[in-house]
Amino acid sequence: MYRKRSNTGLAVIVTFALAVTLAGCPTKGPYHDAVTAEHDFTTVLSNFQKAEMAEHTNGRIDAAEHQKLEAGVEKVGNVAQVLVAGLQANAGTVTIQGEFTAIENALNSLVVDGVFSVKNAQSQNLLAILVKSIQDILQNIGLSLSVQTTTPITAVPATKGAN
Amino acid sequence: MTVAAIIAILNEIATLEPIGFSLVASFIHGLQGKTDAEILAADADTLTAVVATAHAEAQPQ
Repeated sequence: MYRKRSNTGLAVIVTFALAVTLAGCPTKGPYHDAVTAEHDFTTVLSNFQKAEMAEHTNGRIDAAEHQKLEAGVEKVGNVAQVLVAGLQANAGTVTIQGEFTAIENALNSLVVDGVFSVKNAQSQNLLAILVKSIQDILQNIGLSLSVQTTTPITAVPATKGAN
Repeated sequence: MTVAAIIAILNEIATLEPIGFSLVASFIHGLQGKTDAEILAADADTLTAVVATAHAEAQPQ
């Protein structure tokens, strides 16, 4: 039976999840903020890919659109891998900021070259909401790190995550 | 709160987008009780899989 997709509900859930995740972190500090943002970003990117492939499998995204979108996901994923390596190597705040900016740029290309070209409005809307979630994550961490530019972000040994 | 109101809320939850719940579960499960290093190691694996899949899917069939 066809069930109407609730994109508004999805947006609310994603926003709520991000708020709970960030607000619930007992371990504060710019390094942990950056790791949390990276994790949230990676989770949404992975779900974006799953959603895109499901839409393609169901025939709502054609082959050409699918290839463009996945090419964009690959570029975003490549830049994200550099960010993770930077965080693992305790790169400086400016470097990490630059890597988040690079992700933002790759994400913009994914939107312009991929999401906007999806002809099915329902599919485009779904993907746009997921991209908006990623953009919100990047905006939040961008603001957070810009305040911390004078303080190096360094890993704290055995820092526990949320909850 | 009446029983009808509770049923209405449960019904609303049941009809919401599954991807949203998947995201909530992923966010919480992904961070719960893990060190930052463990989170990064797991995310590195996730990104490797995402990139490999994207690379394969981006090729003309």
